[in-house]
Amino acid sequence: MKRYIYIVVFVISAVMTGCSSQVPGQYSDSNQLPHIFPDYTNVTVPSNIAPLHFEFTGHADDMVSRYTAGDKEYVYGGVKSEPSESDWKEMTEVSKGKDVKVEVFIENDGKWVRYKPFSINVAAEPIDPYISYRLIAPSYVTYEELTINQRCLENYDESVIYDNMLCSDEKNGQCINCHSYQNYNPQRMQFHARQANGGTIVTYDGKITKVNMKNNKILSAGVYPSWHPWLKLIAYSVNKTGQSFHTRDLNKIEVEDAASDLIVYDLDKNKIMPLETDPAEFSVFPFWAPDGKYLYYCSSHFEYKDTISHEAEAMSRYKELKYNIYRIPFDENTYSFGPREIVFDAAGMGKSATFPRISPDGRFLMFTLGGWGCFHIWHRDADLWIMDLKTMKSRPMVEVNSNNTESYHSWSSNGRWIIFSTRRDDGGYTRPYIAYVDKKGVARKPFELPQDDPDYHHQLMKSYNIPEFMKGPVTIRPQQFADVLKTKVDSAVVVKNLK
Amino acid sequence: MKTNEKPKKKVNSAQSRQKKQSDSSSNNVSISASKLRLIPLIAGAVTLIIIASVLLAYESEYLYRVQELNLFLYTPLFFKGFLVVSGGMLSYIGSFFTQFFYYPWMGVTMLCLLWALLMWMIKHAFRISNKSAFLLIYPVVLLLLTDVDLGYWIFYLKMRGHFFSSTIGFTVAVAAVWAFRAFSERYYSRTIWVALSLFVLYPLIGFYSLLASLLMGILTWRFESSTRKENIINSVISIVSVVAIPLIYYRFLYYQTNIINIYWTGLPLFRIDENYVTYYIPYILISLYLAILTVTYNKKCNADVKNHHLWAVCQFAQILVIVGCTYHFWYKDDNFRKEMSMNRCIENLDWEGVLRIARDETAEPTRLMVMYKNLALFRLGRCGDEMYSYLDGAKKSNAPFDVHMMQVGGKIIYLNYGKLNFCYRWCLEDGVEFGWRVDFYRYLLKCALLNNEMKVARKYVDALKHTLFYKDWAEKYESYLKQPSLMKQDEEFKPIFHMLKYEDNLDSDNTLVELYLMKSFAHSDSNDPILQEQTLISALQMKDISLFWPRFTKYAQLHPKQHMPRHYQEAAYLYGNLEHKIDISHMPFDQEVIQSYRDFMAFAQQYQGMNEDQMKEAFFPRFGNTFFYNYFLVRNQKTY
Repeated sequence: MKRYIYIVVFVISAVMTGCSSQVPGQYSDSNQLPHIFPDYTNVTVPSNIAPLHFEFTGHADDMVSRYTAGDKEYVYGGVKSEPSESDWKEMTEVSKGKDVKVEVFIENDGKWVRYKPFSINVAAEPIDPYISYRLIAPSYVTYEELTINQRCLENYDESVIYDNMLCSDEKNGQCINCHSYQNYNPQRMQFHARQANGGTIVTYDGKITKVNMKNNKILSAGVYPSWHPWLKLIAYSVNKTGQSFHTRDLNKIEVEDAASDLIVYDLDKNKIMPLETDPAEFSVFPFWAPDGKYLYYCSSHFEYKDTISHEAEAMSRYKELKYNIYRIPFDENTYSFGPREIVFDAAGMGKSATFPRISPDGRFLMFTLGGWGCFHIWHRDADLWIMDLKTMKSRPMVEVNSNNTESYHSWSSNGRWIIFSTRRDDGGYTRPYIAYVDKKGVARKPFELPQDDPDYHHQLMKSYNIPEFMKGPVTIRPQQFADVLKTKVDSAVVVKNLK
Repeated sequence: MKTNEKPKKKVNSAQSRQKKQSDSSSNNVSISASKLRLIPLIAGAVTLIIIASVLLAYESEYLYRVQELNLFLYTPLFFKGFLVVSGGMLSYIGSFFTQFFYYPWMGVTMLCLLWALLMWMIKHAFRISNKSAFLLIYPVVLLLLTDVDLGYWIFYLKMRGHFFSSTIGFTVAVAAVWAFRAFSERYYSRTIWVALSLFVLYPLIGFYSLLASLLMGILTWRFESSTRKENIINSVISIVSVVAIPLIYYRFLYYQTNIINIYWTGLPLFRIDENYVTYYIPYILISLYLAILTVTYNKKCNADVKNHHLWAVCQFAQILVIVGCTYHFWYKDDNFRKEMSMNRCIENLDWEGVLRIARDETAEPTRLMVMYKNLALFRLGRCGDEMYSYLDGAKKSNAPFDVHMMQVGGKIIYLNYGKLNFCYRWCLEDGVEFGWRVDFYRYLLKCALLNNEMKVARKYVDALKHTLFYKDWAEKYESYLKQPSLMKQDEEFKPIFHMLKYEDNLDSDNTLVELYLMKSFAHSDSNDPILQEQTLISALQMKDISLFWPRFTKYAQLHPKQHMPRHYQEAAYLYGNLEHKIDISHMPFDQEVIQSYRDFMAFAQQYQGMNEDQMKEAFFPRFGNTFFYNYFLVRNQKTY
């Protein structure tokens, strides 16, 4: 009996020894950074981020990765470097404000090469624990299985906030979009549903309401939303949107508004106040300043000349649509707005600005700048820009931009992190990247949203849309949203003044 | 008691009755039960061999197409994607098996083996006697029909793995019923199983688990050993479970199923603009069949065949009915098959093969077939001489719903005509609408390569490398990622590069492939000889004289000292004589073209007063292969 126990122990030990990862004793050094996906070389991460798993993209018979954090080393074997959550937490805790050093060793034909070590800088400031986004296949017209998802940034947990299939059938589809939160609060959220069981869902501290904003006094139901930081007001654009397809250009699609205005919706009173309605001004992308005193938005001056339909003319003159950034002052006592002032003259540069986003401390304005139009996710030249609102000086964020699309972006609640949409991986599928921004408005190299399987984004046939930070998860179940969406509600009333 | 009588034994009355029956029947029995034991094996084997043979003989192309419209990736992400709905496991396993139709004999063998398993399962679950073994054929034939009655549904059905999923679903359901039968009544084992099996199986096989539970609720009444109370409890639990468990899963787990569909998960949904209920008939019949077996379970009947003549006649009659019904409901459409064959020829760059199929056509073709034919002629440089030498037409696709060319063959057409963005777009749209397919990945990859979008091409290459049968195919294109210059020598890509030399503009096809291509080419211009010829062909097809002349002139300039193809001459001569705006007197027309035109006009004089259909019939034998015929007598042709 004893002899058998010894054999079993010996076998187990042999197997364990065979499985354990060891840094090779002999190797040559390369002065090149390793080709890894995602590219986590020399990025800056928050201490509470999920482990950054990566894979080697070149040819490798074997790989070992060694992490050095403080005076401790962690070694992992396999062509995918996958530190456990507990190991990673140890590393980031001890490396706050400092670097984790990473070395990648690659074996081919029995020979090991150590690539140039790189660092993962761990910032002192944490990041909001959750983000949400829409997952959408990169089709243009059809949609199926649209979801608004939420993801914990501290691990890999992802869940569905709402899925359009709950209210869709073979004949009647439902599109969902434009989720947004008041001040990063997941208990105060809204999103739109279109076509089948259409309406706007607003949740406020546990209460779910369906809002019907369709009204023949405004161009459409509310589209792009922005919550006032504390009042129960949401600003929306209302749009007449069309799209057409490039026959050769790799941008593939143009989405243009033939008209757009701004409205403000009062949650308590279920009333809508039209705000910017000049037909020669296409106003869109409202965004409240964090102090609640200004409403920023984009607008393009466009006058129709021809007798053909506005949609056809807007599409034929699509390169003329250049959006500037404006702001209008807001009086929270009277709910009144003042005259607009220009903040950024993109048209003067021959460009077009979209998605104005103010940092939580009110210091910086971030926006997307492209050649024309308002739908920059399809424009490969679109980049992130930042303006210092103290000096009113703006610059492209060269430290985060790529030679492909950068578009929708959001600030974290502490103003130290941004998340933005980019197609830098392959030019076709949108992925969320996160970057650190210091107090001077200078960003550091962004990193891709980490996944348990580093190959996940390479396989995923969906794009991320509208990434937004949240302080916690949405706890309402998708089926509860569906129940409310299936109810019928009266239209909101359009008034001249909300007070 | 008389002393010389043997004492009578006391025997069980049931045994006595049975012995008497046996004694009386043994005097008349033709085939004993023991001799019938091979019947199920023979009947099953013969049935499956015949089915397999017919499928391979007549439906190999169809099955190959089915696997092109399927996708199975050996990745965890692919697997997880199926688990978000009830019945997802059924689709996953079905998709796994469907890939083997790449070699039709392999897929058919697997399908027949699964059917054999189903027959065996039914026989033992319901204790079907050997003499009734022919009953086992019915569900197999009905399942066969669910695969071969589809026709164009293969392009529109959203149920992945359909060809195998129903078989697997019914098999698991029968297995669950068998397990129910096998449990004893002690400790309410059967009652627990009714609910537990549904709770476990609903996520895996959807509707089929509900069917199993209902069958259990009926079967309980057939057990002699169970009490009335137990039967009532089992039936009530069955009904309550069937109603409640899907609702529970809907409420707390599945966020991707509309509540109106929670009782049909795992079943294909034949809905587009409306619900096509006749396609559900096989499923209803199989469910009824199982219900009948359940209701008649344990019914006492003689396992021996009393009258072998009558028995044989009954079996033969059943066979006739089965064969007759199978033949009747089997989808047989010549154009459908030819479209698939032509598609395959195009994929293999077998342009003559496309023309061979087109030449064999005796009935009116679909527009897709005509477009395939024109593409082949264009590739072979013979469009200008032979375009009208083939049967033309616009036969509606044989389907109860509107079939769009885009879903059936539009993508390969767009790819070959250089409309890469449109091909790419429709692969994405249809991938989202109908589910991802090998077909779509292949076109996405080719479009990405031709557009020099190497990073996204890598994505599609890597995905296809995770398939079983397309790995090598993907590796061929992977070499283009490393050396893009190799694409210039690719036989498929070489002509497509010529078709890319046009300016960008914003446009939309409104889902009408042929009309879009015609207009797009007819209104464009190019100095590339190959692309330019297509602009001329399209102008010819549009019968637009103002578009024709500049393209005709350009063609002549780009092909100096080359013979002008016949149809272009016919159009020029006709238009010159019709409008007299262009001086054609110096053009070197072939004498045959001039004479043909004169003959046509003279013929037309003879048949004045005829209506268009009469004239078509009269003119076709002599002039059906000319542009004159097409111009005057082929009108209002629908496209889609």
